[in-house]
Amino acid sequence: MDVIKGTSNKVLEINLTSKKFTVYTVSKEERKLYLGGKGLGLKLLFDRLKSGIDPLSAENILAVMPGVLESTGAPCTARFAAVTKSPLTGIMASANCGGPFGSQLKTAGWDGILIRGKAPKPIYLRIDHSGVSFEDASGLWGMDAQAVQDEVVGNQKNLAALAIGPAGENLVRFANIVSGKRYLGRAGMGAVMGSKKLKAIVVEGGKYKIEPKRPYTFKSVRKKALAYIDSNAVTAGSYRNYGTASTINLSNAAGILPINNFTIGSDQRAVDIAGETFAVEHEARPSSCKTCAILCGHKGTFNGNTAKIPEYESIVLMGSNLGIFDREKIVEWNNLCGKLGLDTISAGGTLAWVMEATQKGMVKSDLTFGSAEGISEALHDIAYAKGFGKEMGLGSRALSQKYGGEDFAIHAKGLELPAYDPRGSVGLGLAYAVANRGGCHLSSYVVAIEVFFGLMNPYVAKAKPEITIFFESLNNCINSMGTCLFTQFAYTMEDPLTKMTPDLLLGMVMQYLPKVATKLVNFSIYRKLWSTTTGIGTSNGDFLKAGDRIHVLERYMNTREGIARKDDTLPDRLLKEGRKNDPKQRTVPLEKMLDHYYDLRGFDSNGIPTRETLKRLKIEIK
Amino acid sequence: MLKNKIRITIKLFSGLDKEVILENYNPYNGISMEVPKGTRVYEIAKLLHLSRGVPVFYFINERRSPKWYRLQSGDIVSCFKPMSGG
Repeated sequence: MDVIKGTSNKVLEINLTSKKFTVYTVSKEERKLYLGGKGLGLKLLFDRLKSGIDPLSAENILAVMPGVLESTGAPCTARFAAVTKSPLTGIMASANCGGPFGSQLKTAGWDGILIRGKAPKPIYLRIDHSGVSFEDASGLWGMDAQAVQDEVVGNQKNLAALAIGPAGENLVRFANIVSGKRYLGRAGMGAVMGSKKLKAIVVEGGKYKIEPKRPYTFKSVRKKALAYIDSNAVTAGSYRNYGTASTINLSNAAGILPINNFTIGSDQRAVDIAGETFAVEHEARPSSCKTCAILCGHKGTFNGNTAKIPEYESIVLMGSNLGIFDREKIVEWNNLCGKLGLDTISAGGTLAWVMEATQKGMVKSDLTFGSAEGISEALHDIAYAKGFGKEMGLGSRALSQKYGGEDFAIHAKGLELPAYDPRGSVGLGLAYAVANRGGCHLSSYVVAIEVFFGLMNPYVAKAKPEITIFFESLNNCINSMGTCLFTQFAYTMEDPLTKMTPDLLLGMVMQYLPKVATKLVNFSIYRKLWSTTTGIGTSNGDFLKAGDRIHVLERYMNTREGIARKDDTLPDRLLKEGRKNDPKQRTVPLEKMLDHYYDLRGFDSNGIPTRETLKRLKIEIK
Repeated sequence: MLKNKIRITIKLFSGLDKEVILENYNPYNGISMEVPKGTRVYEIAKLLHLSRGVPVFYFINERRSPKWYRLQSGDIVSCFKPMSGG
């Protein structure tokens, strides 16, 4: 087997209109400034995409970028990213996935693929080390997302696929892309593939072995990383035993579990849909991404059949936020969304809006909070764009703009919010409002610091911009090097300085000296894994600056689409109404945090990156 | 209830109910118990005979509680092992 030392730096540029491909070579400078994965994908799109294009037109580009660490043997690195302009939000979107596609692409010798153009009739792509062939997909069009993978991949070794279901074909604005049983879930990337008449991409890997450029140092860093994962109580405890669904009881105890379209934050029935209950009642067992050392993914037995236990976000958005606490139903809808190719968060958020709008007489539907009646049918209607389903497939923002009820359309920048109520975690409220892809908890997971670890007061604005920014940048590094965000708990918290510091002191420093606190976070494992793989030396400061750069570049691209302060907001429900479980009726004090956030980020008061900021970060001014 | 005692409710999550080995533990209602006035939240682990070294954290009234918080009558204490999000 041939060997790639570090990265191949070769990116396939595929044009579906002309059915031709070329190879772009990534420079060392681009690698150093944008790391790989999401960051590099954004940079390549920045150089190629015109602003103002229709996301569903031939001009849009879908970038699929394996992580730098993919196939190196580093723990939790079966990760790849996709970047495109979202048809749901109209701005840049990225997603990250742990499916098998990334490692096959990487071992086929490709550090990314860029797909533009539009085929006149359904096609799929076959990629190997030598290039691309364009295949007729007429017989695949209409298949569900799992069936199409079975058809084009089957049990063949070294093959993996990206595929869309009917939702992607029918341009549902929150259609996802699947790889194995993992998803590029958010912001409608499946519709981008559908608009290009691209049903699937099959890649044959196994041509190359990926070796780090500095194998000895890499090995010792990898050993430390594994030891941290195994000793950390979060990564080796709750995730491994109960999966992300264990968060249900936690969020419920904290009063931030969304129920009935974010009107209530806790309910006694939450225990019915919690990870602990799934584990006991359904014989939960691991079902994780390749190379995972955390093992958060689980499957279980339901009526004699094996099925994936849904993730926390899916359980809440398809369950408690619809007033439903029925495990079997949630599993059924989660599977259905997987086959139809629908993002469970946006699908659930949209259904919740429809339920409330129905209750208020704004739309007519059979959907009501607490009732499972009509939900399967609604999901089918969305995916096949039938009747009112066609409108639901545009998402809650579009629905509320047409029918009213914008105050309870729970989205930011058009992307439906995930499963933490920010009125009990105001830093997360800021993070949602300013996240580049819209309502996203993974841009900066401040809820862990504020609520779950209790290190900062979740109801005060002070110091939240600093903490939000730090994790935005770090998460961009993690998503660009291609490892799992959950490793953060192990890699940063098992560091002796953090581990030995009493929580009280840690919290005080974060709350009162946030800039000092963020300087003390040791994330050097990430930097060392990236550096020993690529052979490019960098300091912790420069590494984090790459995360800053990626964040600001994405913001800059969004501002060129018209995004500004007016868009960095949350629905009125979260800014003006309290949760029913909160006697103090607290809301998110967003304006208090926004100015300081812009100032720290180097944006003007309208939220636009200044020329000085762009120059400092070496971002070309267009 | 004795004058120098208060009644609280304890709920156990993330597998703590298995470690305490309670008969007929009901996860909806938790355990109702009397504790001496002035009991601090960290003493719950001892009251439940949890093995030393098992890290536990607590939520009371929908907030993560400091370990030295003095329990009040009627408090509902949710106990967890370290965990975080999805």
